[in-house]
Amino acid sequence: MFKKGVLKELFDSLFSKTWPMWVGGILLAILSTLLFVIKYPWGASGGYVNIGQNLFQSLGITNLGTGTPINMHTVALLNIFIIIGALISALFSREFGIRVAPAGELVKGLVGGALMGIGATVGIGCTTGGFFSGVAALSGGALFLSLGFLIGTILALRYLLWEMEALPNISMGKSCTILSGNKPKTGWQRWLGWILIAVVLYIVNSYTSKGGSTMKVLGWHILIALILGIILQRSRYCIVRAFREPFMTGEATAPVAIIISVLVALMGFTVIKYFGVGNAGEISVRAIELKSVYANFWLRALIGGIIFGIGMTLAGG
Amino acid sequence: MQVDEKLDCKGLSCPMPIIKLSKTIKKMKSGEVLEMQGTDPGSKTDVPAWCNKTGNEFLEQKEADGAFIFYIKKG
Repeated sequence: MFKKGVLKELFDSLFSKTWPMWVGGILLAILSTLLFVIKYPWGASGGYVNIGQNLFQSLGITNLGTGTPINMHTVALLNIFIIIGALISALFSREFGIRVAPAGELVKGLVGGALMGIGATVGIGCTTGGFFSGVAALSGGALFLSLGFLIGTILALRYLLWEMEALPNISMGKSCTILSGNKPKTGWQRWLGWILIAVVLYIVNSYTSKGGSTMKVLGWHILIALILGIILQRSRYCIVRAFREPFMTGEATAPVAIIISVLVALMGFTVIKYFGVGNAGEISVRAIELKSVYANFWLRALIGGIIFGIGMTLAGG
Repeated sequence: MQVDEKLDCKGLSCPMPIIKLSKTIKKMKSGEVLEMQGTDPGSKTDVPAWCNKTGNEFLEQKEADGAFIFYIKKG
């Protein structure tokens, strides 16, 4: 039998301290490799395109292209369940809270988010699919996208420094925090976390118990997304930070973590491609890969990268 | 503890707290103490790391009323 309290101790230590970012990076790289085996490497912006298409479609705007329903789209499901996974992790760590920034910051978030949307569409990819998976897949476009991120980050940081001198009111003003986990009496957060875990597992089961490999693949994506979300929240793995850190504090913790994880993913991806595992063996997938290497190479990737880079630093998070 | 300067970063998210911290510390004199308030959980690791890197002394950290309070002595 277990010593009493051992499991609780383990749980507490997993969800009280932040995990080193490189540990998160290695785990994420392994999961991205697993996603590649099942279907495609990890990406994010494609899912938002799908969610956007569905949103516009429901508003009666159909000339933007009709998308797969959200509950049948692998990347859209990944995005949604990563957020739920991170929410569960924040509840387990008793870090959950609703923190509303001053009005000026909210506007910056909106503008930054819009720039990220435009940048990801122009450059075909974001920090996840375009950079993290792109570099690991040895896409030439990814190199120019990364260069664009770097330029965009420097520009946006220069803007933020200027803003603080010239328009200090933007980042000041009324802010509020509700339901914060730093307050006493936060035992409910863990219970809510367990309930959400049960709900997600029920959804996974409802996918995988249906016949057909498509449904099973979708179910696996939900499960992997849940784990990705927990790892992201615990390790605070942030690619934006890796681009920003050298210019802000001169630290290299985040860049080193990202380099380690890209290297792990690179090894995984190379094995998959060399042996033609799963989808990677299909001609159509090889064609997509060629496209992602050449179609946005290099001007679109560079311009998209700069726009996305400005947006991601402005939006913060 | 005698606090010479206060900085309110409540509601702000990465990278604003560190940018503001860096600017505020710059105009302070060596040995003065800054009290910084924030709500971003990332600050819990970022602020001590920043102090370590920039040669400022991280004195202590408190949590109250949903916010984190950091005390930093300029090096």
